[in-house]
Amino acid sequence: MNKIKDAKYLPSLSAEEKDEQQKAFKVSVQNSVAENIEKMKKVPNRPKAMEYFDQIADFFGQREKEIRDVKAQGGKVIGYGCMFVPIEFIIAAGAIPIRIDSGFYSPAKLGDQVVPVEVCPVVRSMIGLGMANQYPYLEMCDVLISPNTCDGKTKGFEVLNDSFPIWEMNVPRIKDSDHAKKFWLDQIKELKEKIEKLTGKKITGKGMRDAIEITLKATGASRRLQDLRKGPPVISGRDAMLVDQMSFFDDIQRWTEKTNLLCDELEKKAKEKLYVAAETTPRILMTGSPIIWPDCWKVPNLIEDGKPQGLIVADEFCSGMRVIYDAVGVDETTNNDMLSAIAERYVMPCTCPCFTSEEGNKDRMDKLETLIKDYKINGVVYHVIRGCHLYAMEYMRLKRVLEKTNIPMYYLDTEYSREDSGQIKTRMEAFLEMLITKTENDDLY
Amino acid sequence: MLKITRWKLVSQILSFLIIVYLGYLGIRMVQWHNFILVLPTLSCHFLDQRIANCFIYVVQDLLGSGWKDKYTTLIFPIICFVILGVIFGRAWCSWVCPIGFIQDLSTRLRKYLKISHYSLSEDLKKASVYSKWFFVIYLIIISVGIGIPHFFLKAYQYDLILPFCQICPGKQIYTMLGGRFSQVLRVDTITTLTAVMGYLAVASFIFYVVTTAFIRRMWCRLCPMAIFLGYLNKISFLSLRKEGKRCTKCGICLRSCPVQVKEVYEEKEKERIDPSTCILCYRCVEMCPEKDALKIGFLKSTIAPSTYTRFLKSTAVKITKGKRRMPVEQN
Repeated sequence: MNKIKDAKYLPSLSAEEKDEQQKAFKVSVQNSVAENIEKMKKVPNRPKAMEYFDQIADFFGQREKEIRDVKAQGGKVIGYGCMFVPIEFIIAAGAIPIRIDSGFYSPAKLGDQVVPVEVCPVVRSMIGLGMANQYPYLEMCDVLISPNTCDGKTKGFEVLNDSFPIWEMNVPRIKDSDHAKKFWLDQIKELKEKIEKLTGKKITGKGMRDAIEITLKATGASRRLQDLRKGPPVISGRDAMLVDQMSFFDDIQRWTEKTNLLCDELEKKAKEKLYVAAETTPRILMTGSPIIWPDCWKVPNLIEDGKPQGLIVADEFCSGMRVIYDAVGVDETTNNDMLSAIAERYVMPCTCPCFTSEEGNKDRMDKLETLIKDYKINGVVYHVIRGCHLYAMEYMRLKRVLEKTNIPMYYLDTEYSREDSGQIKTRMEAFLEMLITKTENDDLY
Repeated sequence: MLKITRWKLVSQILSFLIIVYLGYLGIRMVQWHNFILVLPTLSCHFLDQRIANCFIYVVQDLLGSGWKDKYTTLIFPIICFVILGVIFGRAWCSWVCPIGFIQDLSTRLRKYLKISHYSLSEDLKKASVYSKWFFVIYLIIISVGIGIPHFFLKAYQYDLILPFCQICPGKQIYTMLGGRFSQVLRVDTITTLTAVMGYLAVASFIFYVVTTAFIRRMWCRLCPMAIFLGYLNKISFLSLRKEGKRCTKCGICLRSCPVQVKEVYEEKEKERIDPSTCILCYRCVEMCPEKDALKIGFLKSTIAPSTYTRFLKSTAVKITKGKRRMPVEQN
């Protein structure tokens, strides 16, 4: 493990300042969580199984205590920055994987002291968290794994290195060539060794197999939930997104169990026709920069609580549907094949715009087209957080693809603040109204 | 049943019994007038009792003796081969052929022993295609040569008869299956030429055994029959179809393909995946986690699409019901 040396970026805060920040953070986060859950509870026919996820969604609640207990008994917690880190290894080594993402508005202001405001607020907010150590999940991490994907995350974790040991991973930008595969596989092997060293437990073939089985089941549950969203509106987009996001830090097996319970309930609801919105509600696909619990719930709240109302039936976020959508396909249970299967699962099917190829990020366009077809989408909301260049730059390509199929798309750029809520609300309502008129017209002709 | 591999195993066992042992139960040579059934799969003439002939054997036999009747005897075998090939394409290799079945059994044993397999590099893959052509040209030239009167090869006709069958590893395997163990790996040293052919046969058998142990379906990449069936693959009724837009390019199909067909992973535009190297074993279909991305097609209908449930059944990691104890508790 690399030792923490002199701070390179972060200013050192005094103990009082830190304490103050921590208190302020706790209050603001708890308010925000409560407020958002309150809004989601107002959705008619909300499934009862969501109560469990509401509990987990509290950052200072049950799950935090559980992890603290494990840590007190000598367990390790490994944080990771992007969805490129194979949690199978972490599970197989008996550690707890936690994905570190920051959807908190207040720490972003703190981050402004270190990096310019042009930097994407997800990263600024994360840096703010690293400064005052307010976020319990980040604080509990023994090490952070940072896959170098977008510029923001790459440098953001470099800054965080002042407070935490970091393991960097080099993600190949062109993923489907033989040398990229080999390059990535080497990193995966190295990471495996590092995790073994940290936890002091060897990752055996059996351990890997069990871990893969666990994640495959989770993938199954996640896919089951997504499949249910293809039909009539039985779950609100926010609820589904919350479920997906709770897999960031929840015990993955318990999460699977609870998600399956939720799906059972939703199936019943679909039969009884207890819908969360009218069937004619415009069906929205959201894509673009990640929407992270709790503060980023601003936009989905505006869509689903607005008048007219929209329903998010699908999303293509690395914080949503994509989190555990892909599967580890083991062909032979030899160690080599399992390692390649794990390595390939995290990079090859990923539609993150940090990848390119001779055909650009065609996989993402194909995926979005399929989603639009399968989920009977009426309109697309392209969510871009200011400073997220990769998603912003792919907008035009998607626009041109969608023009062919005549699906309207709305480009929504926003910041980590509530100031633009009013403006977004007006524009969102106009977009939804347009969708309704368009569907009516389409029905006429 | 969701697992395609299981269906395939059933088909392979049945075909093995039919092709190899049905002859011993008294059923001889399926024929119509003088025309004997020709199979586009290895039904070896080194087996005393068999129900049909191997296409490659028939071609060599008739080329070697067909000078007089202007090779017209070849018409029926070719028609028979083309009809069977057009219906099933190279599925003959993966679902029927006993030599392929033995390779699959060897793979099962290797998997059980948890030994990793060896993948051919792109260069070696290309070389395997060339060697297929080499075998085809070799068998045609020699067979035709020994049939032409007064041609110099005619003098060696008893040594060089059936030039490919002599060195095909199937010869040794079928001699064993037929129970004539004394003749396995026997080298005739009557003349230098027979000795050379004998040693080549031994070498090819050793090559088959060694490569089969570590490379999946190695012989299928060299078999001369694969060249002809490969062309029929492009028009066969039974086919492999892909919906490119649904493909996430996760690469599972490429990794699980026994003959390393790259097209199934790379192709996003064409609906039909029909490279001549594909043996239509449909391992990719059962291993594809995306719904409807890959399909088994027959003419215009779909026999089986890929689904996540099928994937869970087919992946090597067993999915048990209920909760699995976290590995942390085992340590």
